[in-house]
Amino acid sequence: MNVFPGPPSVKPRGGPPHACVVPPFWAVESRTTFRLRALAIGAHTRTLPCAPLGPLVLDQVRRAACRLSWHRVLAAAAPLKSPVLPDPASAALPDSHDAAAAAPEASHEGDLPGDLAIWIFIFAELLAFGVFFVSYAFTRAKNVALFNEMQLTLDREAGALNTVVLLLASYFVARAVNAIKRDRSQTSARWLAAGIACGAGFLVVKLFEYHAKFSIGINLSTNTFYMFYISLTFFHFMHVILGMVILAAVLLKTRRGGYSAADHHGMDTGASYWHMVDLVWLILFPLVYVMR
Amino acid sequence: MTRYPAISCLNRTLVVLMLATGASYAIGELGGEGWAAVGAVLILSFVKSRLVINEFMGLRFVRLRWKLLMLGWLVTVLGLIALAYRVGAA
Repeated sequence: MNVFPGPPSVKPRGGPPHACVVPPFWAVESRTTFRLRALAIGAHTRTLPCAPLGPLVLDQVRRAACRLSWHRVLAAAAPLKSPVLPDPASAALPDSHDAAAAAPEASHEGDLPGDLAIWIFIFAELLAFGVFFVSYAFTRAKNVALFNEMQLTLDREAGALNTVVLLLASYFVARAVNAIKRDRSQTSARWLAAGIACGAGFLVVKLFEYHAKFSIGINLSTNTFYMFYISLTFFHFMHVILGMVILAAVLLKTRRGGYSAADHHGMDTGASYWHMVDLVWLILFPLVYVMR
Repeated sequence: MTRYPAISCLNRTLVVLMLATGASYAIGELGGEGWAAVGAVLILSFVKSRLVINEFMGLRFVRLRWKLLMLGWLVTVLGLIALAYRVGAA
């Protein structure tokens, strides 16, 4: 039974499969590190129960490693600090030069863009905003007349303008990511700068709105509607500021050439956070300014 | 490396988002009240949010579980808001 089938790319290409010497480190190492190595050489690990492995599986892994470019194995094994012997015969394989670049592509395909940590943060933020939105909606259900009356005192034009500004900001940031994926750092930096400028525009419009309200004596304790309005929008306001700080840090690194088509994980991370800020506003604006 | 939408796709997304924002604003300006107006605005919000999630965030290309997680959040929040407005109207 073939318990360790290799993908099409590891099919034999001629030559003896045992021509190279691969150290049997997987016979003694942990299950996790084994799976990482097997992933690096393009082998499937789902059918493997655990390490250490039987001789049949070991032989198949060894053969797969011999047939693949050893650069790919080396690239994936380097962080694990385990010895990997070169395979001179495989260096002549057609995909040997692309193998190192292909390894991260294979491992990140289908993953969330950016760092997983920022996505945990994003989901936590979305949860917090979601609770806020639902609280607003159910509180309104008990005070419909008050909320409808107070909603008319809001500047809907300013809210719509801010929606447009945030959508543009998100678009610019998306273009920045698109540009860096084509290795155009300076173009990417310009898109990021435009995105930050839009973020600043949002803050300016919002500050004018706050000023108009605070100058006539409206505050958190005016009534329930304004308690929610000020809390919700200010909570979002602070997120816009944080998003701008993150984008500014990404912009500085982009200008220094810190990102490239092969390495733009940090930019993906910052962009994801910024889009979350935009996403939240897309619900906040109709909820607070429009829906009656 | 994660996949990402093409420029033409981003451009189209921006146009649709702007049109949807204009429609939401118009509903408010025209004094849209009641269940129909709320439903229309919520549907527009859902469409806009989906576009930002899929195209700008690039979640169109990620694994199904992440898409479902984000969609679950969106549907839950908008659904509960719709329920609250329904309760308020009753």
